Amino acid sequence: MGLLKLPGNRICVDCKCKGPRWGAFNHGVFFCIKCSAVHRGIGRHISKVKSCTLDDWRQEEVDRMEKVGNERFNFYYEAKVPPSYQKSFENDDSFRERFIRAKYEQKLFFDRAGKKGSGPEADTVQEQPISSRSSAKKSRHRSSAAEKARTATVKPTPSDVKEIKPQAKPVPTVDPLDDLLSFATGPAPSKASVPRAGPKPTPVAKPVPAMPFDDIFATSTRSKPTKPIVSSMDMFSSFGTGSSGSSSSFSTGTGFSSSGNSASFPTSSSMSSDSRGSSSMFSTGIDLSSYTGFK
Amino acid sequence: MPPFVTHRRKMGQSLSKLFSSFFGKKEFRIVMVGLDAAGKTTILYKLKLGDIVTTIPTIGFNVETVEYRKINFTVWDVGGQHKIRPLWRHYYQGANAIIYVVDSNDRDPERLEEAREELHRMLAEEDLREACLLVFANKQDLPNALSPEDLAKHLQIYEIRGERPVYMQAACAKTGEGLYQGFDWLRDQLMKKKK
Repeated sequence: MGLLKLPGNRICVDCKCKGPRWGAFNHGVFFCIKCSAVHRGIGRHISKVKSCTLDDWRQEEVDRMEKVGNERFNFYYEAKVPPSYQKSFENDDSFRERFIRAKYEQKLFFDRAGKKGSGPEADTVQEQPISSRSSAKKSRHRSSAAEKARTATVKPTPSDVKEIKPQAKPVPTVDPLDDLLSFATGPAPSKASVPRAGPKPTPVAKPVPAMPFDDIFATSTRSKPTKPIVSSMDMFSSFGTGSSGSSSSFSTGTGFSSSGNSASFPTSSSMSSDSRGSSSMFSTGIDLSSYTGFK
Repeated sequence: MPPFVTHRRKMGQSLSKLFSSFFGKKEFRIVMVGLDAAGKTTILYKLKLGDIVTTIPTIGFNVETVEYRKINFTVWDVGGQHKIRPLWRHYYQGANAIIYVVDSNDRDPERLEEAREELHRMLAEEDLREACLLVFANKQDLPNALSPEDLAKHLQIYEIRGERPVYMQAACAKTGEGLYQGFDWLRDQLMKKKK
């Protein structure tokens, strides 16, 4: 299987750096440790993060990674991403979190265009129920349009990739889990992982792993009016001016050193504005030594 | 708390030094474990720095000494990925208390089961026979969070409550809420024991 050796999986699904070693099995994508930090921070209701090397993977999780993969995921979930975004990763550390939240939580770059209403792709979208706005009808309608667009252009699409994938399996190994983890010991991804006799399409339909995005962006521009793109651009420009977030205040070692005042929360202001009325919950714990509320 | 502490400032530096060397500062060793992405490192640095740091997954451990109410807690925060969980036990020896951190927002039954298993496996360790247990039901700020009561049921904490002091505390590492209450309890328990 060697999932991490597949072209799309050799780079982080978010920041595009090389050699991702972490993944979210509910999305079926691989990312680097820095991006994994953000995914974990958002919570497991959005991303279920695992390490390729340090965690055990269930078969169904591996299957999902195999079904989706970085390339296909980004085909949909980065459909509307502005072209210049990648530079921002280098320039701005807080951009990473804003980008990942926009991509997975708010799904701002998602576009169904090019989606076939069947197979694992439908699966992808099912498990990630998108904004209630995009109804099933809509998607069917749109996908047929996109279908046309796709047959007209010879641009690589995830479905092409999908067709290749089965043959792209290096060797049908016994335990895909072992294989998934095998990269750790193996050398850098080599040509060995590419099918030997596989009828891999000639350059015409050859997926371009490094630059799938441009193609995707081009097709989606065609099949969609420009408005959504503009709006996502707007979103990005607001990124630029975004909050300076966690600035200063590292030196303020409040709370703990303060004399015995246990109720002082150094930065509870953010909570109080958004407390959901649950702050009382924190006032008491359950001392189970004497607690008899169970049974 | 010893009475001298309240007068320390008045008595001047050298005298206070003498006193503190005489009485010795209370120090406790605490091991903080839990499944991956439960929020252990975030809790540790919230305690240490009073601020939220973006943490990358812990591969290995972090250790910090935090002072709270005149007591030094040396907190060992150990990574929670599957393959490094067997390393937890190397940190148990001499631990006065365990902090077990759980992601309350994770309602996945398999994860809850995993959390329960790991907890009970840990409590069976000989090295931890004397240690008291503080459970942080973390991430209470997230909308889908389980209540500490429900979490206690899932983790079958009531089954062990006769064996050692156990405390379940709702917490939110991001805001710091609940953390100090947890440490208040911990402090009381540890001081009680020491007497």
